[in-house]
Amino acid sequence: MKKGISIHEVTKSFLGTNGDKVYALDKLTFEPPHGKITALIGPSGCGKSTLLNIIGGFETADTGEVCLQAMNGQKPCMVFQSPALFDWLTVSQNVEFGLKRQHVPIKERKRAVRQMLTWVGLEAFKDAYPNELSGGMKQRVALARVLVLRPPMLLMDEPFAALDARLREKMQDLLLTVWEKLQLTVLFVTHDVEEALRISEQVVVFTERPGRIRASIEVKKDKLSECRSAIYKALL
Amino acid sequence: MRRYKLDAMGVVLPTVLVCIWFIASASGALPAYKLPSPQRLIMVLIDFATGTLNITPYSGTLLSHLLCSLRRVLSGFTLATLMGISLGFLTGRVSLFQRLVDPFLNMLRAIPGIGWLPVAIVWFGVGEGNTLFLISLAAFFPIYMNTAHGAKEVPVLILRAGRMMGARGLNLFATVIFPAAFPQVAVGLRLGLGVSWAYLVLGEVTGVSMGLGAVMSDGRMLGHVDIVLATMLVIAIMSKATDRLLLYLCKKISPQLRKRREER
Repeated sequence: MKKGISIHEVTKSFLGTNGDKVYALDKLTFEPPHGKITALIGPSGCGKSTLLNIIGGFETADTGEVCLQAMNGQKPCMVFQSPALFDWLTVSQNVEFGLKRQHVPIKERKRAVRQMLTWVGLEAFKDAYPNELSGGMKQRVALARVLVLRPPMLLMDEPFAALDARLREKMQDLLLTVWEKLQLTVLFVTHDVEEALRISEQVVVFTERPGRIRASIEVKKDKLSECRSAIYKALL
Repeated sequence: MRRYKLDAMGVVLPTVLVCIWFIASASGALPAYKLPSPQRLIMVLIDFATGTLNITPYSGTLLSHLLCSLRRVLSGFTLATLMGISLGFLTGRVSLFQRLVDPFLNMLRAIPGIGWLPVAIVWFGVGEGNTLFLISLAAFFPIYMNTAHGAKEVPVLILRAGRMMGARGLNLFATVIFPAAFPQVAVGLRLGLGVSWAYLVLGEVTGVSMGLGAVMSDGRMLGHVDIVLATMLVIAIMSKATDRLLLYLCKKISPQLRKRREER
């Protein structure tokens, strides 16, 4: 059986303010490479986030289908633009949340949480509450709480957009480190070309609304400037 | 643990007022049957509590009246809490329920609580039932409104995160919706508890033999303004004390409330 996911002719429309149908996605067909990080880039409002929401199961497509193969019934997990942490739980309880819902035995749960907090560098803050953390730390918790579930696929919706440039780079490095450990398929929505070049192996450029794919560019680390100009050309 | 930081400025005005009151009473400008002197009030209060001085007919009866009133407040408030929280969550989360029930409840809310008194006496008689009805009715609305608001305003990303990590149905309610809405529920509970004490007095002054409101009503008829004032003080202290206790319990349930207070 083929691995990974495929998106086939997905269309999604909304009712606009004047009552007209506005198409966010129009017959989008696309197959992200399995086990790699793919960046989705495009003008704002081009339906990138909508696509992520459809794959994540938060919204349903009007027509078309999203096939999630070889996921053993597991669903993709998402890191949202804002951390959306549970502020009534401590950092480690936030990370433990999904495992608890899966009735993972307590010993195993604690071990997994501890390991994940070490990965994201938050062991020292395990008993802190989210509103005691900085923005970058919160986003690291948001990453940890889904990675601990070992999802087959990770959806990231401009997760570092709210962070300052230096912190963003640190978070990108962190993402690459954990990705190397887990080798999962990542779809990463961004509007930052440098971010896309830095983290992904494949950059998919969207057109303006309705969102279609204008170009799919493979990122070769030795030919970064060529890739960069190809992306900018596709964005224009 | 730092709990209270008393701002000295807050004490100035009460102190000045008590001084004026003391001078006015001592000089005879204020007749004691209208307003007893501060020292007399303190004596009456001590006597009311301990029964050692025997200066009023109510000497030493505080505890029995207080317990009676406290029981009424707690049972009314508990009833209001159960109804308010369950209906509030249904209104906040189930749109059919909201459309069905919320307009009717808002219609009822337009009737001032005191407006229910005559009909409550007819329905439940003077005393226990009538007081319980008034307290739970009045305390219900703030609890219901705030719970419904809190439940409705749980951010969609929080719900998505909960579902994504495998919480469904009742489990989603218990682990995500309820804790996320609880700070707002707590606001309703505190308002409701305050209202409970107010309606306790209303229920009790209408003719029961036991309870703080009964003492006030009785004291007024027998011309004992001192005991009326002493009872008012007791109610103020009890209202504050139960509010503190409630706040403490809410913070136990909801750590985000704790943090919010500390940030201030």
